[in-house]
Amino acid sequence: MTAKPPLLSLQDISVRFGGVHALDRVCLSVDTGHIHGLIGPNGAGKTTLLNVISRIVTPSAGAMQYDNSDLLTVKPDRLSAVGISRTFQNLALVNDATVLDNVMIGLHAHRPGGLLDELVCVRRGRRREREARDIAAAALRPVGLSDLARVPVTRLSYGQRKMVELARASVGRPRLLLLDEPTAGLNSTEIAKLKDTLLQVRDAEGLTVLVITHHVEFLVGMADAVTVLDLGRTIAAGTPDTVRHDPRVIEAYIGTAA
Amino acid sequence: MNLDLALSTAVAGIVSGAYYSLLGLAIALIYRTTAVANFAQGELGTFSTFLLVLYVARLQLSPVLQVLLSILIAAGISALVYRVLLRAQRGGDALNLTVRTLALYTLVHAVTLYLWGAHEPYTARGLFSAGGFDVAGFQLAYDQLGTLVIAAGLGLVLFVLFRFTRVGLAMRSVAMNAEVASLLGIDVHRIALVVWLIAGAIGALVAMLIAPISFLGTDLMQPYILKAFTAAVLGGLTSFPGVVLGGLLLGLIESFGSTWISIHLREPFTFAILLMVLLFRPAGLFGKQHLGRV
Amino acid sequence: MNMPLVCVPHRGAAGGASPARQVLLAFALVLVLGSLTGDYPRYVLTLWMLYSLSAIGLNVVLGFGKIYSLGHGGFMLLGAYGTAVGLSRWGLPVPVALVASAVLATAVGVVVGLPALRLKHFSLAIVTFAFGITLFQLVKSTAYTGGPQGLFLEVAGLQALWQGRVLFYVAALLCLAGLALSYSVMVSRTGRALRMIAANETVARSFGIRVTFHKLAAFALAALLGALSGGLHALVTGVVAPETFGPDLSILIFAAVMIGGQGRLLGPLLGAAFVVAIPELTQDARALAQIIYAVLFLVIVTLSPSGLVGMIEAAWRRARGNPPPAGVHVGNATGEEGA
Repeated sequence: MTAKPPLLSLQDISVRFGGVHALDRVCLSVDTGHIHGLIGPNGAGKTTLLNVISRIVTPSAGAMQYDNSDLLTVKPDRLSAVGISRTFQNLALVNDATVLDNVMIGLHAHRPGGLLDELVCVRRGRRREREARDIAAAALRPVGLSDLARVPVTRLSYGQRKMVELARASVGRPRLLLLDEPTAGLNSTEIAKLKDTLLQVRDAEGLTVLVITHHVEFLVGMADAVTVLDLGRTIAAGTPDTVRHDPRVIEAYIGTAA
Repeated sequence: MNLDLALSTAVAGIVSGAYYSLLGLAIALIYRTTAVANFAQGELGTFSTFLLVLYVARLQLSPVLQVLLSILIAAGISALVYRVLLRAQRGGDALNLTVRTLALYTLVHAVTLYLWGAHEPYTARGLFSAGGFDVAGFQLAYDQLGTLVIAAGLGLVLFVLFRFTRVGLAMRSVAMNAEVASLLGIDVHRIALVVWLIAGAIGALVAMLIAPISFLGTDLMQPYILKAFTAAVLGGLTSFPGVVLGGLLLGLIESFGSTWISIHLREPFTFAILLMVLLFRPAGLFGKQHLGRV
Repeated sequence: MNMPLVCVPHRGAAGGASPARQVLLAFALVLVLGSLTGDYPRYVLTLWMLYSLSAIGLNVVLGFGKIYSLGHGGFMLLGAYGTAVGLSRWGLPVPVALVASAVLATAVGVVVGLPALRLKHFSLAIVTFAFGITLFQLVKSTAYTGGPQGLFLEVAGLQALWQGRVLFYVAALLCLAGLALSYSVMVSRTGRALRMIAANETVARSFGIRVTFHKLAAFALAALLGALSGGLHALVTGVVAPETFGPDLSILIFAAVMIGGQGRLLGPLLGAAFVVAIPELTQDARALAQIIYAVLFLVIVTLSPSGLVGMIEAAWRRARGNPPPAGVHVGNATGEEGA
């Protein structure tokens, strides 16, 4: 491994909802340029962890660093600006808007100017709009949705909508991409395509990815490291191969379809 | 303010509060189980009261039976509304369903106006005898007492229903999470139907309690429906006891407000209180904060 | 007519005339029609455009932002009464009174938007409704605003100008401007942000969208258009009375937005046409008219969640041989192509 410090680092992160420990002293370390998998049975706290990192949930204990600075001091609406972007398990798209419109939301934090530009400095506003539209359209190519740019999201299949979310999350050139179950609901062809796309994007943009998934196979040949959660605790960490064969991980998954 | 005035103001407040509580409960029930804000709640009550006074009253039945029959009719209409109007989904979201009830409110109001508006107001015979008796130095009217007894009785019945029956349990589960409830084998649509039946009955009963006092007109429930919504919000939509308490509180605030300040500023005063409560507790006094789902 | 404040689409949907040109053409037609007809039809057309203007404002908050604002009548009241007081009590010239009341209403709009930051649908609906009722009670019980009788405006001269054509043109101009503004918002970064907030506020925030600003800005715009509509209404009718601007008005404009098609660009125009036309067409049978109005209202919102715009689109698609997809919101209003 390189000597660079990790891009994202969590120490002893705990989250309590009432009396329940959703997360209990979780430690996680994601190196720059890595694809890092986060797996574990249902209810393990994976999405909660992502919510903590994306500042939607504040941990009751623990520390987090991102790019060598305290992530806990970053406010939720500054997330996109510092280069962290994510997708959501239950899809959060604007349903009656087009694919392009949805992807352009990913650029919101990266465009200067605001209401004034749009209403008064029309020429500049229109130019900026055109530029943003081009960037968003370009982001549709890697996910294969270029032809569907002007289609309302409601007409798309579930798998396609997940791709829209991915495009929206990556259009703003984030440094850290958090993916919540990108493979759920996809068929094997789509999963293979997603794997390729992620690898391509990572190599081209130097992206760091933290991906939650149920499909352990998805991580083989793609992830550089994997962390396993169960009942809010880290039970294993390492390369996909070591983790797959770890008896504790296997035990945690018995009874759950992998 | 001397004790007599305070007591009679308080009683008046509790009586109107009882109306708000019951109506608020009906609204909260419907809202929690079918995610619809039922704007037509009051109008259906008015409509069934007209039926009672103008048609059912002609039947050779005891007054109590007449009232019960009218309540049954109202419950039936309410269930029909759910079945026909709201089940015809066609891609409508919660807002759309709510707007349908708004349209229904407009329709029922127009129909009542058309049929009976010309000769209003009508007198409705009260369920209780006129007059009252002395309690602690002020006059407690029989119909006030009667209202309180009926309201309390109904409240008790509903409480028992929710707490100790299977149907009640099913209703509470649907109110908490309809999706999970259906996964647990609960027929959500049947429960929703029952809820609309109950809400319709409550609306009719309240209208029939009010009509003898304030004269039966097409605008009978108009002032009450907004207060009912307010009571529901004040108490917190997620807590049924909260709604009941919210209604009583609202009645008291209003009553004392109009006595102390002015009858004209009664509404703004009440709403100011509401706003302040919501400022500190956006989910209402007893409601639970709703966490954004991601 | 090249509006300076507008993002106008160049190309049309199927290569035909651009939607903006279609809308302008339609407006031109209305202007011509209004200029040539008698006084009363012109008056009705003026009212239609005023209600459209107000509904366009509410559509931004309710349609785009999905924020349950049930007190929109309050903004119209502020515009109307502000103009009336400005004219009759302070002797201000007409444009000044109108603009001043619009500015006042916009400020109030921002304040009314504050509860929207913390309250969800149901509670917000009640609070905004309470806002409308409170203003209504206030002007009704204050002598300065004319009490229950209201105020009369000395605008007979203005109304008579060109037999009412001046006010008609002003209304049309404002309506068109409102439409252009609404379109700008819709296709812009701000509009996208507003709709993302409506879809999921938490997620919107994670993309750097400032929820507070956007919600308040939406309310400000709604208040501005509502106030202009109310102010002009006062000028056109020559009187402001509390009953005209009571809670029923909020429900009316709300209904107009929903019937027309919430979140659609031209929805407010169609909805306003509905709420103005039906009572007009059924003048003689007043009580029956109410029933017909209510039945149509009910039928439209039940059969077509996207309102009249949705119905027209579905009919258009059927006519061209494409069956409408089941239960789908087809994109945004006509003409979202191009920038």
